[in-house]
Amino acid sequence: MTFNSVSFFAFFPLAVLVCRLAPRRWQNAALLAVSYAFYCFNTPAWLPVLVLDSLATWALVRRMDAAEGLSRKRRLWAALGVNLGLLVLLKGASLLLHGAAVNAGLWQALSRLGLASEADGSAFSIILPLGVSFFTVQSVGYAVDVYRKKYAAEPSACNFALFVSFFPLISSGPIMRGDKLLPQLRAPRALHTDRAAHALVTFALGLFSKVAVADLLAVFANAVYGDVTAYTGLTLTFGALCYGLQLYFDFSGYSLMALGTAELLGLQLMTNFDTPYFSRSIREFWGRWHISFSSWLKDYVYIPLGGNRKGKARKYLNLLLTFLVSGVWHGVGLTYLIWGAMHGVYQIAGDATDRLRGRVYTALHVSRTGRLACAWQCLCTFALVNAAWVFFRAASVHDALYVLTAQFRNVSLTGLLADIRAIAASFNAKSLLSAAFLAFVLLALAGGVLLDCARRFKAPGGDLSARVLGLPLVFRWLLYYALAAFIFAGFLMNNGYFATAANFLYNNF
Amino acid sequence: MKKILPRLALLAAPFLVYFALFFAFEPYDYFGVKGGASSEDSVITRVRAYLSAPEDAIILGDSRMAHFDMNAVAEASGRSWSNLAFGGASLNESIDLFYLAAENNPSLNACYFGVSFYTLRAGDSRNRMEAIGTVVKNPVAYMLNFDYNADMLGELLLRLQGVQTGATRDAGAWEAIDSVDEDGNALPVRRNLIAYAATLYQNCAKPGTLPAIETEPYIDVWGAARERCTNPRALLDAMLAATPADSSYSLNRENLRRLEELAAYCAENGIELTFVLPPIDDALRQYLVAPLGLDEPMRTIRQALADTGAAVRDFEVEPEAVYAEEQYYDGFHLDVERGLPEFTRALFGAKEA
Repeated sequence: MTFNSVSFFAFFPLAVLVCRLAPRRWQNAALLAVSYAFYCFNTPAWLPVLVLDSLATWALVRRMDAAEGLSRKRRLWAALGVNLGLLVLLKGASLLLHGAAVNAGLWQALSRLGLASEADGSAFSIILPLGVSFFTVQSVGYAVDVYRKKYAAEPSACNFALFVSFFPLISSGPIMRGDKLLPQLRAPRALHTDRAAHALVTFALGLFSKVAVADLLAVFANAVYGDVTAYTGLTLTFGALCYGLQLYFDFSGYSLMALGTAELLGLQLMTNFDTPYFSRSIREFWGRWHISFSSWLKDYVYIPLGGNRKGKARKYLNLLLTFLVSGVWHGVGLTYLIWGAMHGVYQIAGDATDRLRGRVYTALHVSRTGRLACAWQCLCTFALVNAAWVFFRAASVHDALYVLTAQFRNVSLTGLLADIRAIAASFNAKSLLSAAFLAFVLLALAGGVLLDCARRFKAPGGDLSARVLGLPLVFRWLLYYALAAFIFAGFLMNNGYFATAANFLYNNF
Repeated sequence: MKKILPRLALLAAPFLVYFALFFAFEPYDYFGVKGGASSEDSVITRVRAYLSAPEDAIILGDSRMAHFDMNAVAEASGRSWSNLAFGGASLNESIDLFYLAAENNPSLNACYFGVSFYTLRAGDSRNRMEAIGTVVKNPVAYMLNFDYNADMLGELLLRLQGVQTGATRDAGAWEAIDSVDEDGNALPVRRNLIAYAATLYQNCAKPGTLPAIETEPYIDVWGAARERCTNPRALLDAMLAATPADSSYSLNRENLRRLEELAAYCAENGIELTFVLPPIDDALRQYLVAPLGLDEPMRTIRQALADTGAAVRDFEVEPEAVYAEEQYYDGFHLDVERGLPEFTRALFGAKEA
C-alpha cells in the first residue's frame, strides 16, 4: 500500500478516525497500531524485525544514556551495530542472492513467508523490509544524538517505536531527528480546521506531482532506459531529462504527501525538498534535495570524519567518502557508487574552482549574483545533476556510458519527435488517445514546473500550501478543481493503480 | 473538521457528476442494470455475465467465435452456452479465460476453443488477463480504468452525434464502389477483402512487402462509422508479387504447448474440448496464404491440435464446409446474416448429429 494507491484512500480516513477517537493517553498506542497495520499491508513478514529493532535500539540507548565513559561508548556501538548490521546484512543478502541459483525449495519457503518474490521468470529475489534504509539510519541518528547528550533517551518504548515506525515516514522518510519528533509525540495533539486544510492541500500537491507528473514521465524514461541501445541522439537526452524530472516529482510528491498525512494526524515533519532544481551549485543542490538525508550525512558521517577542520585535502577526502556512503545507501552496485563519486567530485571541483570562477565573472564584468549568471549557474547545476542521474537509473555502467556518449550521435529533432510519438503510441494504440496522453503529460509537467516556480519565488519559506490557502476564493477553488482534475486524469492514465501500481522510486532504496 | 467535509463534498461534486455519466453511458452494462450492453461482445460484458450466471458449455476465441447469435447456437446444439470469445483476443488471453471459467464453474463440461494460424503466430504474446481479471471483479478498478473511461466518452460522443454505437454488425451492404479499384476497373474480389488480406500482411510478412493501406471514412447503411480502402489495386498487385521469402510468419511454440496443457487439463477434468479452426475467405488463401507459403504451418497446427487428443473442427485448412465470397463480411468474418447462421448450424448442429 502506497500513498497513491486506492487502498490508502480507504485506510487513511480510518487511521485518522482511530487516532482521533482514541483517548489522549492511548493516542500514541493507537497511532503505533495503525503504523504497524500499514506496515503489514506492505511487508507483513518483516514486522517482527521492525519491532525487535525498535525495542533493541530503545533499550540499548536507554542504558547508554544512564552510563558514562567506556560503557557508554560500548552501548552506542551496540546500538549502531544492531541498526547498521541489519541494514548491511539485508542489503548484502538481497544483492548476493538476487536471482541466485539457491535451492528452489528454500526460495519457495521464503516466498510463502513473504520474504522473497519471483523476479524475472524463475529467478527469485529477497523482499526487503519496507523502509529498512530509512528507519535504521533514523535510529542511528537518534543513538548518536543521545550519546552526544543533545537530548535525553526516550523513556517510553511506545513513543520510540512510533518514532521509528510512524507510517507517513517509514517508507521513504523524511529521516526525522529525535529532538524534532519525539517532543511532538509526548505533547497532546489536536487538529484544527486551518491545519487540516493546510494538510489536505499539501497532500493534494504531492499527489499531483506523483500521479499526474512523475508516473506519466516514467512512461518515457522507462521506455528509453528499458532499451537504451535502441536509441541515439536527442532521444537519449530526452529520456535522461524525463528521468531527472520523474525522480524529483516522484520523491518530492511522496515527501509532500508524507507531510500532509502527518499533519492530519497532528504531527509536523521536516521539509525534505526545497526546489532543488533551482540550485546554483551542487553544494546548494544538496541543501535542497532530500534535505533530511543530506543533513544526516553531514552530521553523522562528514563531521565525524573531520569535516573541514583538518585542511583542504582531508576536507575533499571527507566529501568524497560522504558521497560514496550516500551512493552505497541508495543501492549496493557500481552505478550507485559512481553516482555518489560524481557528486563528491562535483563538490570538490566546485570548491576548488570557486575563486577562479569568481575571477572569470569579474573579467567578464558580470555580476555573479545577477539574473543571467544565476540562470546560467542553475542550468549548469541541472545538467551536472542529470548527468549523474544517468548512472543512478541505468541498468549497468555500460548503459550509462552509452547514454552519455550516444546522445551526441545522430542528433535529429525529427528523430526525437518520431521516438516520442512511438513511445506515446505504446501507451495507447489509438492515435487520438496517444496524442491526448502527450498533451496531458506536457500540460501536467508545465503545471508541476509552475507550482515549483511559485514555491520558489512566491511562497515564503517554501510553504506553497499556505500560499494557496491565502489566494482569493475564486482562484483558490479554480486551483483546487484543476489539481483534482489532473489527479483524477493521472489516476485514470495509471489505470487507477489497480493493474500496474506505481511504487515510489525511493521505496526501492 | 465539520467545515472541511462540506468543502470536500463541493470539490467532489463534478466527479460525482462524471461518475453518473459513466454509469449511464458505460458501454458494457457492467453493473447489469441497463438490461443489455451496447458492446455485448466485449470481454467485460461477457466475463461479467459468465461470473453471474455461468453455463456449463463455453465458447472461446477471438472475434470469429464472438459473433454467434447465442439463441441460434442453443437451438442448433440443444443446450445453452456462455460465449467468452471477444474481438482481438490473443491466444494467451483465451487460454487464461478458459482457466478462469473452469475455476468459477466446477461443472463446466464443454468448450469450443477457436484457434487459427493467425492467433498462433510467434510474437503475439499479448496478455491483458491480469488487468481484465481485476476489472471484472472490482467495480472501482473498472471505473478508474483508462480504456473503459475512453470507451464511455466515445460512446457518449457518438450518441450525441446520433451515430449507432455498440458492436459492429459485420453485415455487409455493399455498393458498386466496393467492386472496383481506384481507377474504376473491376476487381476480382471486393475491396474490403483485399484490404483485409493486406492488413494481415502486417503481422505475417516482412515490413515493406506491401505499400501502406490508404483509407477514407464513410458511414454505412447501419449508421456505423467505417473505413474504405482507396488503393486496392496497388495492394493486390503487391500481394500477388509476394513470395515465401517475404514471409515473417513462424509458429508460436509456447502457445502451442499451452494448448496441449489445456487439452490435458480438459481430459483430466472431464471437459469435452473441441478446437475450432474457423473459416477463412478464398481471397485470403489466394492473396495471403498462397504467396507467403503459409499452407505448411497451417497443416502443422492442424496436426498438432489433433495430436492433443481433443476433437478438431476444421473450417480453415481442410475445410469441412466452404462458404462463398458473398457470405463473408471480410477475410476472417462471416456475414452475420448471409454466412454466420449457416456456420452456426454446421458447427453446433453437426456435433449433435
